[in-house]
Amino acid sequence: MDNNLTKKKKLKSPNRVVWLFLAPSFLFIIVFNFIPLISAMTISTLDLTIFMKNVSFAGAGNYIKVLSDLRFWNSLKNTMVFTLMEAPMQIGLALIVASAIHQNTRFRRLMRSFYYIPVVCSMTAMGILWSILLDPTLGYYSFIFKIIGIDNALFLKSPSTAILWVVLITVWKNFGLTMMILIAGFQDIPYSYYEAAQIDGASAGQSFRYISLPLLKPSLAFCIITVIIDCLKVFDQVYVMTQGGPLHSTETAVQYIYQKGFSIAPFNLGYASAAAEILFLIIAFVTYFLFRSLNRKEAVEY
Amino acid sequence: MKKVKMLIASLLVGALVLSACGTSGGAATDTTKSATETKSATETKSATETSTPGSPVKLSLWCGFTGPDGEILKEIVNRFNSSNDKGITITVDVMGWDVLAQKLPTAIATNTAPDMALLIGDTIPQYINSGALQSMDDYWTSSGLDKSNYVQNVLDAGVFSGTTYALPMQFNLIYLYWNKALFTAAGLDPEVPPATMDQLAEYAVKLTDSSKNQYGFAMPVKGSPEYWTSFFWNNGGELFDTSSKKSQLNSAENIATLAWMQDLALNKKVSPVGATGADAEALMTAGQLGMYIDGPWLIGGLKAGNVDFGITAPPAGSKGQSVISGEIGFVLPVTNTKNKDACYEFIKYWMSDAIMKEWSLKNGFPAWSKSVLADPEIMKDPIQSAISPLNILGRAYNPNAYAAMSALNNDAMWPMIEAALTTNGSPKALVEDASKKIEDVFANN
Repeated sequence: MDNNLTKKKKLKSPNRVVWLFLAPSFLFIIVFNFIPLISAMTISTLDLTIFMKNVSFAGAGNYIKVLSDLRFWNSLKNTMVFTLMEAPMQIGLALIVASAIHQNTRFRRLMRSFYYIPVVCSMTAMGILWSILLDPTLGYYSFIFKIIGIDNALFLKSPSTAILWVVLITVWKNFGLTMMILIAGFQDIPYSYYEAAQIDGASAGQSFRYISLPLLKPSLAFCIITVIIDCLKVFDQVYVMTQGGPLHSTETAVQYIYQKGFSIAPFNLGYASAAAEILFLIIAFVTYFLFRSLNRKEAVEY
Repeated sequence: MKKVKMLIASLLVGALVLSACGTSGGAATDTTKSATETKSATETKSATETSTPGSPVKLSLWCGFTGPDGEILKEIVNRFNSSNDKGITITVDVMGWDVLAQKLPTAIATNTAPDMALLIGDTIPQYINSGALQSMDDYWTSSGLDKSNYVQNVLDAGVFSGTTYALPMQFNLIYLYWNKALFTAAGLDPEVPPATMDQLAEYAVKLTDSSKNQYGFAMPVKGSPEYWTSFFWNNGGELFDTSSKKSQLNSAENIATLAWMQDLALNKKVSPVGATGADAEALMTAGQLGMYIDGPWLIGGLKAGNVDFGITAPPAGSKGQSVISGEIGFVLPVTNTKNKDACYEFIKYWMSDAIMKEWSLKNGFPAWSKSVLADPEIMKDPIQSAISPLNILGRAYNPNAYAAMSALNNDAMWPMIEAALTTNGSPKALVEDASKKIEDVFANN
């Protein structure tokens, strides 16, 4: 009896302290996530411009306008193309590099730092740097391409190759982060498994396929989900390098929303918010779908 | 040794944390930056609200002059601050024009706006429609300046529906620059620029040499002044009528003009493909471009790059010679309830002969007061004497102050130009498509 009472007392006091610890994070999430989410939903039903005068209720009007706008569908298509190119490239490259440098030698640890450097650089600054490097007339890459024989490479100025180069630059910038997560995943795998496989006569490829990959599933699932969500929200590099051009070939959803809300008269925030809500629903659905399919099986354990 | 390692480790962690704060989508830094800026604006405002007449007045001015002309502007403001006898001190906040266009409307809506702002003429109508600016009709009576001394169409650019909402700060057309050294090398007379569009095309071809990465005439597809307005207008075509909200783009003349531009760009390759205004300016200042149509702001760069250049009006077409005019004006947000007279003091200072002459001579912008135009220094200056007579060719792109002008410009016109100059699309189809987009904008706005 005595024990139960003291147990209950001990359970109560940690609760209050717990809320105190959680409060700053909660505040942050409420101010920067929750409130903007609700405001965006509200604004999407209004007829509101950036001058915030003459506000009127528009109901579903904004949504109808967005869904009947060809440029919006084009921006969704560009976002999908971007995601389908960037995610496999980034994760694939990160996986290959991680499998090569996850051992803890001095050289390998140095290489990890090098690969991580683009991640800490500002995407805006890197975007500007790359657009100078890739300038067809004055850029260094155009010079190199001419030497190896490709004479009129237009890089970011051609509607057909611009999105490819935006993808490549994004991969270059972000794969370091994915690589670090996968290295942590690799280091969780006990070396004894590889030894055992070696004794059984497995080749490097086989041990990768039957030991590394299954045991990496949790890290891989995390990487896939975060990379895809980030791809669907791509904006910085597009805004800085191509502004959605040439001929709207790199205009992704967020770039389109930004243009309509902040760049071009009449700065219709209602319209932009409606488009943002639709994008939010798409990302939510994709995330849910990914969660369901990737976390279906229990983590493999040997 | 362990202590040193701990110190280095903690420094690196600190650096990483700071850089992470910086890179977290720029949004974090942006909000902190705008927070400090609005904070300083409110601080300035509260300082002025508690001031009594005769005591120091602090004003804030927002503008987009991020280049060397911004430095000259700040210099002039500092001189005003130290020389004026009314105790007025002005702080100039410089940001990119696009940043200004995003920050100012929200600042006015949240009562954190500056006392004055400098705005590009074409962007002013939407502010007026939203009631964000106050009338400046009483300026001429309170300042005591002679209104007739100033060029009328420059003053008219700030008058909307009979009320003055903007007072001119500067006025410019766009001009044809040509590289005299490249002209000589190509066998052309360096003192005679092309006078007609046909001559422009002819000279451009002669000046293009792809082996030397040299181009004859740059035609940017974005980020530059609307040089193509001259081509359409001068060939007898019209673009749109914002008072009756009708597209006038779909005409045989405009299709022919677009085809002429496309031929120059794609077949004769006189322009780098997909160039932006900044690319063209870089080529021109590097001496690798024969001709380019741009605003007076290019002059500083050309002088710095030691380019031997000439300046004249864009070429005439078969039906005339019109050049798009632009202006930047002082505006007073409605939130400025106490400092109107102090602002008028500075605007009066700006419009004085000495300052206008200085701005024209240092920047290359044309003067727009008759007393300055008659000044001997202005008349002797090679650039001023070349551009002053061209003021009469000026034609407003947005004469009726249509508020959704940027939608017409960015959603219909520029995409048409870009498609024509970078793809083989048929000019007829592109013109029809753009005309339809113009009608869509009119229908929705």
